[in-house]
Amino acid sequence: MDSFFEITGISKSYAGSIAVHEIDMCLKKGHVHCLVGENGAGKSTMVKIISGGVKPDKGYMRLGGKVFAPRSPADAQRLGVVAVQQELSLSPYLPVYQNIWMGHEKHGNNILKRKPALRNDTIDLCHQYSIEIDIDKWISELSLEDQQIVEILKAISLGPQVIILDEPTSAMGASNTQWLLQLIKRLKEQGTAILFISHRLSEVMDLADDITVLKDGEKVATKTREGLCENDIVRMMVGRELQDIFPAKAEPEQLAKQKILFDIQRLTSKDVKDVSFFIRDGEIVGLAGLEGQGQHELMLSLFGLRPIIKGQIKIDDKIVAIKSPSQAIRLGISLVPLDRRTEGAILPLSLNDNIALTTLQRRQRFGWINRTKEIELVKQMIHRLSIKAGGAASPVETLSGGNQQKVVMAKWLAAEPRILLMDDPTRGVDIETRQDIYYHIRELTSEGKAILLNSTDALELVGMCDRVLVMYEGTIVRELVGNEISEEGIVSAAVGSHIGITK
Amino acid sequence: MNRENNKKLQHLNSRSASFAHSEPLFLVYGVFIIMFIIIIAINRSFLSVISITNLVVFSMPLIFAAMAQTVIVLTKGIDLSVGPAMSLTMVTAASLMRDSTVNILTVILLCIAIGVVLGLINGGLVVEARLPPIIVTLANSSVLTGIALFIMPQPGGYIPSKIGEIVTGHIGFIPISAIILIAILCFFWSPIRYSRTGQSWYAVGGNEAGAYFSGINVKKAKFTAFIVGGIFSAIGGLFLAFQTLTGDPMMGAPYTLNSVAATVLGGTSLAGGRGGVLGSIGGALVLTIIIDILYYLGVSAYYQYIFSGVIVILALALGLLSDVVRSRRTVSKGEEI
Repeated sequence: MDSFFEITGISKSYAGSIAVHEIDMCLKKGHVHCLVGENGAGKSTMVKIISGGVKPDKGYMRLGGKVFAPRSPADAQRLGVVAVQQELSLSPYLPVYQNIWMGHEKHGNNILKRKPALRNDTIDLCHQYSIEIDIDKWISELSLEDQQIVEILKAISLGPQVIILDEPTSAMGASNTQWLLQLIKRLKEQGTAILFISHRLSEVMDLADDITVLKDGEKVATKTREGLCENDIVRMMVGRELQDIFPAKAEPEQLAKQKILFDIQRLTSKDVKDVSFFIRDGEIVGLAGLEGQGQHELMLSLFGLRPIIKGQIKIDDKIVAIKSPSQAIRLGISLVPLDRRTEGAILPLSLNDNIALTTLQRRQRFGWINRTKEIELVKQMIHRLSIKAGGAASPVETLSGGNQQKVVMAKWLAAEPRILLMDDPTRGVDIETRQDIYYHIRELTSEGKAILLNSTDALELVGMCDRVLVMYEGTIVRELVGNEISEEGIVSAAVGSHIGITK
Repeated sequence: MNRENNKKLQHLNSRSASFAHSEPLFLVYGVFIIMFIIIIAINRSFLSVISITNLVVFSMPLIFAAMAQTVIVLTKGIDLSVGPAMSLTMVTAASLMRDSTVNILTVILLCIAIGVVLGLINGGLVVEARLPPIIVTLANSSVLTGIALFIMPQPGGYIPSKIGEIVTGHIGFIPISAIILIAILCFFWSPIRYSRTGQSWYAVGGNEAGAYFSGINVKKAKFTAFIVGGIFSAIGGLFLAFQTLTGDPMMGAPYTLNSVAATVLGGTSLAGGRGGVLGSIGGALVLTIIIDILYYLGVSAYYQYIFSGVIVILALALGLLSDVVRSRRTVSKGEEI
């Protein structure tokens, strides 16, 4: 089939550092072209260039044979090229139906007809793509996952010829991921050219017709999917084998001898019902389940962010009360939160200030902060987590997503926790950084820390956890140990085949 | 079949959603009703057409100041020149107005044109020169006060008393001021608010980058907000002139702070993107009635200054409080924020 959207020799650099260099690609009608690479490989820059947000320094694009040089995202949209970006483009306090048609609605300014017309269009659209969503709710009232769906619907409503999906599944649970995969198949049939970006290689393998691998702003190769396996892609991306990504787990016999550090009995809070489990010294326990089954809320409750209604928490066999994050920190609990941009790092502040934040109290002397100690601590952390940054003084917002996540981890490790709650720590993080993070997490267990890891990525749970707890409707329905921990095991337990509740 | 059901379901949902979205409105008008009951309890004679008309009439300048502020705050801006802009239109009206109807209408239009120009200046500096609104409008407030003092160094001027009679009058038991307000809301405000332009204010205030990526003209959204704000400020200044039948170059000054208070009290978020003028009108009514209550309680006029300052802070705190309550609720629903 002929190429429909051609990218030739695109280069872009920011303040001297090269973001992408001489990239060639071509998308075909009704084909899915996957773009893979680590964070910082240049994928996001490519998305921005194609969707009109950023102008390339060199090179050109052609759409259906004509030169395509959009002046703005709106311009690109008019020409039929639409991107679903990672940063949501929705307006939080407008209802779904206004957000979807924002910037391209077909109705006039007649105030009596406009609202019902927009609502009807939205209902039809939802129906056409079998989506159930309350179209009158504000975006801020939807879950992250639903927001992502609205973002995708908005893109489709433009009737694009070329659609770019930049990690659309990073915030999605299994059922919505399935929906998206169906949707992509449908778009293929309609002859849309699709550029798909994902960190989940299984999705890439599922969907791709062609795969382009980027590394450090340059194209490694474009291949057709036939004859490729996940390992081949990883090798092109990072030069390593897939099985090396996860560190070795703890020995089950050794682990059984360790004492129980964190013991939760019949914990109930809003959206969490009667949850009991324990974590041993040096153990990684995973939380699995469909999206919104109480995993996130359990994390928040254990960090004092949600009032605990009932239940008992013991640390080292002592009953404790956790009513606020500061109390949790004092008890040695840290939470690496779900959204690193809002809850994790303070983006405009430097690495130094971010990492030192949790230990300000401790390094205070007569009200003055001991800077020497601080600098030493930050240096250690940067080294220990191999954070790639210009220096300790550079603002966190200038780092790549993966490195931002490491800063958040560093910040919480600096607090020297004994119990580490990690809420989807590798969401939207590239493979190489993930691998780093995985090894660091495992390393922590050797220091006798207990870790609770919530993840939307089943593969990650399989690779990392000594035990996996599967949640459904706020309660733990299944505990998986040893060989039971597999992608199939987790998925089948998550969809609600409750075979009795194990302790 | 299934489709019909779905439509029904979504329709039901829609009601609960829009009901929840107008929560701040219920809150501010609820407070107003309570205040109203209090004032009647203090002074039975307040329950008369004349006192209620007076309440509405004396609220008018603040209502328009608050509406001006709200439009701009919705786009995540702020206008600290609302008060001086009112002074400027007030003294302009008071120095130019004569008794002929033609003259009166011309001067009213001129004042509104001044409002448009002020909006263009603020908007231009914020949008094209990319200066922060808080500084631009604060600096402009000084400039406008200077111009107002230049036009009319001392309070004075002339406003035909027949306008005063119209503005403070009532038809049956409905104050004419209220009719003017409702007419402006219906024929000027609503068509803009429910058009794409109005929607773009909310979009830009809520997520500016997102709005840009959706193809919204961000500059136009901010510009129009400043222009509409300028028009409302001018109308507020005119009401100030019509009410007092004079011009006073310093009279508008307190309205800047009070407009912010009324806006916040009415449930508009200073962070932008959320709220609306109906709430701000309620906020303005509440602030005015509180001053009335203090008056009936025999509190000295000096203390009233202190009280209105404290009330502004309380209004901000209340606004923040309702934000907190709302976000708590969102969190407790188990959804991401």
